[in-house]
Amino acid sequence: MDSFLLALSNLSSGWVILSAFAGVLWGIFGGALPGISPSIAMALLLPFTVGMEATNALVLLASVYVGAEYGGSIPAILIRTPGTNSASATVIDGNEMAKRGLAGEALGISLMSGLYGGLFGLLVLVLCTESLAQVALAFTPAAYFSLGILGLSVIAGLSGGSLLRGLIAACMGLMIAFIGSDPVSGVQRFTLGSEDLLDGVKPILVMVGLFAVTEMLVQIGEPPWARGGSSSTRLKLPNWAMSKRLFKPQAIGAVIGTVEGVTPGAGGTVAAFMAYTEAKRWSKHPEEFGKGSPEGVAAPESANNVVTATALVPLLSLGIPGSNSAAILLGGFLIHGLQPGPMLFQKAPEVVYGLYGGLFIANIAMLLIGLVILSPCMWLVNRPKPYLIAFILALVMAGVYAIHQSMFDCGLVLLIGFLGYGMRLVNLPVLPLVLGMVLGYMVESNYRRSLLISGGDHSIFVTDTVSAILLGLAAILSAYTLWKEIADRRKSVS
Amino acid sequence: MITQHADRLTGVLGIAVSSMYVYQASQIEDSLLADAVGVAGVPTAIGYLMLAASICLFLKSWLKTKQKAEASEEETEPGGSDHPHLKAVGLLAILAAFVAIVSVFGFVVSIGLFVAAVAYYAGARDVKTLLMCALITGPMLWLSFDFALEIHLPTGMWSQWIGK
Repeated sequence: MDSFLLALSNLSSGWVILSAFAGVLWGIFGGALPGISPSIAMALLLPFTVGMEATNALVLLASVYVGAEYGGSIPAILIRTPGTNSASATVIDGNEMAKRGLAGEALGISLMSGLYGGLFGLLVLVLCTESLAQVALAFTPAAYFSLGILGLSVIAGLSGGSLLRGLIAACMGLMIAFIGSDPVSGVQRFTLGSEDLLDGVKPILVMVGLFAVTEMLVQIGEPPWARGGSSSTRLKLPNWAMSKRLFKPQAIGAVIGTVEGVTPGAGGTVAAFMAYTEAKRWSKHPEEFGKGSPEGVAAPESANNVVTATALVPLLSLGIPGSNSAAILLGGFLIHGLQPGPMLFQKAPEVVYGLYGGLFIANIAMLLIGLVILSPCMWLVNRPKPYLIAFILALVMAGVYAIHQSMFDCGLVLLIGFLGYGMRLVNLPVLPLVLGMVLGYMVESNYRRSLLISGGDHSIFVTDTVSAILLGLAAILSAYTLWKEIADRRKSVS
Repeated sequence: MITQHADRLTGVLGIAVSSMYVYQASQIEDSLLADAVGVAGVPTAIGYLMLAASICLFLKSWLKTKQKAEASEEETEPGGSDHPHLKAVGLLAILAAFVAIVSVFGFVVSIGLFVAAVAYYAGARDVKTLLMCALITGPMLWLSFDFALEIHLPTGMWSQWIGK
């Protein structure tokens, strides 16, 4: 009850409301720009949250994610160019509706489905997270170590399509995490004699480099973004009859979004396409799908907005970010000295409940801003790409400098951006690297602490029941990924 | 890039990086406070794990016979530039130049030059707009940071005039 009241009190906090509205606005603009994913839009703001109060900063970042998911559907519907990956499924029927002169209706369906999805996801987040965190409170250091290994194996297996590639990326992240002081003795490691590396590499720099700088390096060599679309389109919210028809696909999207959201490595894009397919399967009018079906817009938009909240379940309860955007939010926690996970509910409950309250406001803000944002969005999408790239990079450099007022950080971010570009070139997934980096400390410190407890006996990791279960799950998941890889290869050969 | 080539390159680079990492780890001096695992224990294990994964990836791509299906796996190189990787390296050089000149020219002037250079490099040719962007961005960021956020951006050679 106290938690509920705490969350409720945030609904009247001026700064939280302002952060939610600002985040949604930024997110819609970022999401509408093809090439700027929700995580990039969040990464661009991350350095600016350093001086903010923790709750406001996290609400701002989470609201960007909420706004970006709706923003991505605007160019998807109007100019057949998804602003975000998860809006790709919306293109299919959304743009067909636009071609038939129903762009306003499609955008209205997208907005309302996003709102319902976002609120449903928030409900799941509130109901599941704390109870999962309560279970994790009983974890021993050995169990924490195994949890870290499980998180790494899930992400390494699921996000790269290849266990080996995911494993290499995760090792790279761990290697970066080991730069700086040793967690037990304080001895400096891998600093190459640089004083700037004595405190290690801050996750925020890695995230900004990997997401924002890498994307700009990719965008500079790509063709201009599609332009066009009428800025005079007026958004029309669905009427009662249409709302009734859309209930089923929205519910399908909500269920699939929940499952995909809490599964690390899955994310909004998979959820959106799965929801689209299932909505078609369960529809009374499957023949309309692909030709401008309102249900084909509602299902994916509901699904990808559910994910904005449910992706935070593993992050808040266990400290494991399941998606790029959750990883950026984790960066937001870390720069404010907060470690997501079970202890967060004990140490800073006001931040968690503040985030819940902020997410609720963000969804309402999405509806209000979404009603009036169409023309400015299309204006932005139609700006020449070279100026946008230049402005984004200027923002990155200024933001990164502001974190520690150090030009060394700017240089480091460039280096990491280059690393990210190289990784993209050879198809190495980025998420395992980020996860390896943020879990590196947890894995190493708990491993060594466990061995101190057991007197150097490694059997502690299998005699501790929770640890044994988590390690077993990690082994099963890794074996499944390997088996799937081999099966897929055999299938492609035959 | 073809998946096989990408895997082979990743394998080779992975072997090189992890070998260097393991060597660097072996150079770390243990502390009296260190436990049974030691300061270099976990990094060394991770280095070997990456080495093993890189060798496996390299061998997998090496041994795999080329399949006909891979012909269609050619990466769809971005259509905007004939040399997207060169473009990226060029942008990186501009970014590096910006980092290098900030301490001399200060943030406002450097970021103005940087914005103009990046926009021009990315294909903008309208001199008036380029100039306007360059002139606006620096003071705008300076006002946002120095006044609104109270974070002082480097002033470079202008410090004696500004008094910071």
